[in-house]
Amino acid sequence: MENNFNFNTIKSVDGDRSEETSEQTISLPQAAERLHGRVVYTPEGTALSLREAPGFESAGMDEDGVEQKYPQTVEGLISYVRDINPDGDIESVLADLERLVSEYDAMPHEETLAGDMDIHDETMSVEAHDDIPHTGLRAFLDKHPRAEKYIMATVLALSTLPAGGVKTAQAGGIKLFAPTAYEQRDHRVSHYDMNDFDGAYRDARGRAQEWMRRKDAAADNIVEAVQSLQIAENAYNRNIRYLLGKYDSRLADIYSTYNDRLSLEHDTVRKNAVREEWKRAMLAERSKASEGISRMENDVRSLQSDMLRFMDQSSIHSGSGGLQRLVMNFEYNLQRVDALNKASADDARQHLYQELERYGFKSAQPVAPLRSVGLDASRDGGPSSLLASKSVVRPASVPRPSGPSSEHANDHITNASDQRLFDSLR
Amino acid sequence: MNEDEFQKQLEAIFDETDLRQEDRKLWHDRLDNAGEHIHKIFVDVFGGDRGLLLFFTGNIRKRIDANGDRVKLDEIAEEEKTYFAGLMKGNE
Repeated sequence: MENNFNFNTIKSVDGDRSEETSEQTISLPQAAERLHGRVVYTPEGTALSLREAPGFESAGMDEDGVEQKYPQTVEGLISYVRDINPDGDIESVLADLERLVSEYDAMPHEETLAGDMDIHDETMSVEAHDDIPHTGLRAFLDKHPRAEKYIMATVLALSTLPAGGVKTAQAGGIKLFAPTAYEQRDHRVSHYDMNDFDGAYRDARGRAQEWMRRKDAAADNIVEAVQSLQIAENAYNRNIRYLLGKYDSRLADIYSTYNDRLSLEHDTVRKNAVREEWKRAMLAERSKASEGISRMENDVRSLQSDMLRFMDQSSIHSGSGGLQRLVMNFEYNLQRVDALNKASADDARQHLYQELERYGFKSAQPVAPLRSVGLDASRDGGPSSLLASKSVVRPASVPRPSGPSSEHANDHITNASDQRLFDSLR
Repeated sequence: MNEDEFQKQLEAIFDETDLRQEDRKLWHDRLDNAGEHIHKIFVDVFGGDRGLLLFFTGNIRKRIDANGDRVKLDEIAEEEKTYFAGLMKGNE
């Protein structure tokens, strides 16, 4: 099996111009772009279909009828890393690998890959070949972390040869191939699951609920419950800041990643493909954030119900401002999360509008100012300081707080203006 | 991870791998100006994985020594494939 195609010495890639034989060394971005071509030429001048290259497979036709080929196995990825080097800088190689994995995973595999595994070199017939067509490369790499480490080590070892000294990394947001311990944890749990990141809230809430359930020594119960609820409130506020800060950070990463990728693309079809992927990445991130918010809402709604029931059962009319304040504080925080969720959506919109304009697209609507609601995830001293100054008197009948429901939170993620924006990207 | 922190981690990884001075320099040449992101990758990939670091250190040396010789580079590529196959079978 021919195993030595080298993207650095490709002579011609376009199958329609296969007679061209002039020598040229192409850059990594060009090589990456030309991966989508039909034929590569070895340094010896032999035409080599990408289908014949180890680890590369067709993933079907794109909407323009052009066959798309990607490395579909670890072997393919390693071949790719090995053969595009030494001139590619590390970040570019990582970005390309990341893109290849995600693009490949997004293709409709069921139509193309079954029963087409015999091209692989036997020494590279790793056990998971059978898995890949069904689960995708990303899932495969998650399942085989040493394979991912090997790929990363290959990149680190080969990308700089023979120059010595890597280029300063400018691109950001390449996460999947370089998970930190924190992000590795995120693979196992939801990225925005508060309870997994801050047990203080959960523990304090549990203690408060236990005190509120007790029927004896009501006065002591109130004191204990309020103290536990105050601890829970502080932890809850930390969680909110964490969630929103993380969401902002992820949006910035997504922006950085796709902005870099767009700058490398020179073909309209490819640019549009990147935009589509960008759109999906943003929607997925916002969906995850929304799920996290919904979980928080549901949890706090449940706690609020307990608190209100406790107040009613304990016949608390006076001297219980602390408890009432806490009820209102939790409510305030729900509204704050909702407002910040909208603000983050504005950030996301602004990024996309800027990108559209940069590439000559006309914006679908005016750009919303950043942080238009005037709230910031990093701002501290919000609910307690605001509400503590008010004289809170329990009304005769404490109504159920009317904050945003989880359905409302989801509305902010998929509202009509966002849909118009995303439609404009097509 | 700031620069000082990275350098400490780097030396710790080198120490636990018992890497020779010339091999440490080889990695320093590649990493010292690489930026925080690449530093994190290095620590994530090679931290606690002595065998992987030794293999790739030797691999870099061989590639340098091959000096572009196609036959030698093919032999190195074969070694890589064998090593990876062993890695996937849990032998490395």
